[in-house]
Amino acid sequence: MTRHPRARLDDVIHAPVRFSIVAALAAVQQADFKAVRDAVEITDSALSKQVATLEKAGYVDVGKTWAGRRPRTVLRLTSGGRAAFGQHVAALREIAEGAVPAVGDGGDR
Amino acid sequence: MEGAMDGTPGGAGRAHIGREQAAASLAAAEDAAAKMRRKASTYAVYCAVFGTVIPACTAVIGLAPSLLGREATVPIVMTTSAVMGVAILSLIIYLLTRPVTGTWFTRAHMATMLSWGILYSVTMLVGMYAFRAEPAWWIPMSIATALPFAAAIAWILRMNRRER
Repeated sequence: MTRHPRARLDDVIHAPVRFSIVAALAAVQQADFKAVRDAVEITDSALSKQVATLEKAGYVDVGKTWAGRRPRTVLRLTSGGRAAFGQHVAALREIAEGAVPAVGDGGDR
Repeated sequence: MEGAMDGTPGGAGRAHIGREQAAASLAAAEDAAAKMRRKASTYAVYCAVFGTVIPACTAVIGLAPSLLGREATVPIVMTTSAVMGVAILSLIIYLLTRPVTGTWFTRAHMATMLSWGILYSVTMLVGMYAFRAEPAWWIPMSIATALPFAAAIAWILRMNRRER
């Protein structure tokens, strides 16, 4: 029996805001905290919370540097994070294209 | 509580995701990714400044004796070298303070700078020994040292256009 693609969705990335954060980071090598916040359009505290979850899952590296006298937080997707994102996107595409049985038919066993 | 901050609709886990939701998630993710890619394109500014200032300085250094006479060569070369040094230092600071670095940055930057380094070395070494103050050498070769930057800008613009 074919596994429904939703079984391949990543629980950590699946939350919409986290998915957008990971998608933003997947498009670049690294980015400032503020650049990600502006791209995803959320508050600093919301981004901090989601980044902490992603860091705990091993998907995001958080680094601290200095830009002149200002402290700078740099975010980078880990190789594990990139792999998980790729798999999650592939599963979402399958669902979006409707190339799978309807949701709720018990196809994820 | 988690759902309020991560955008998860109340009770909607992955078991309930449908086609429309999946498509909406992908669209939102692509929107965020596109914004980040656009921010990474500021490397084109570095290329434009480097590709204009440094080749111009290269031409001035090479043509200084023919433009202002042998006596003025040393001060002109020293002043122009100082301008090049300040420009390069400013551009390095500019690069280091960019908020976003593209996935392609390391390869593109290495290729651009390596190409420029080779062209600049040939221009200076051959020019100083064989074509001192010779416009027929220095003008085309100075323009040639700008080509890697022009190519990098064209590549970034084409990439951005394709992603729109």
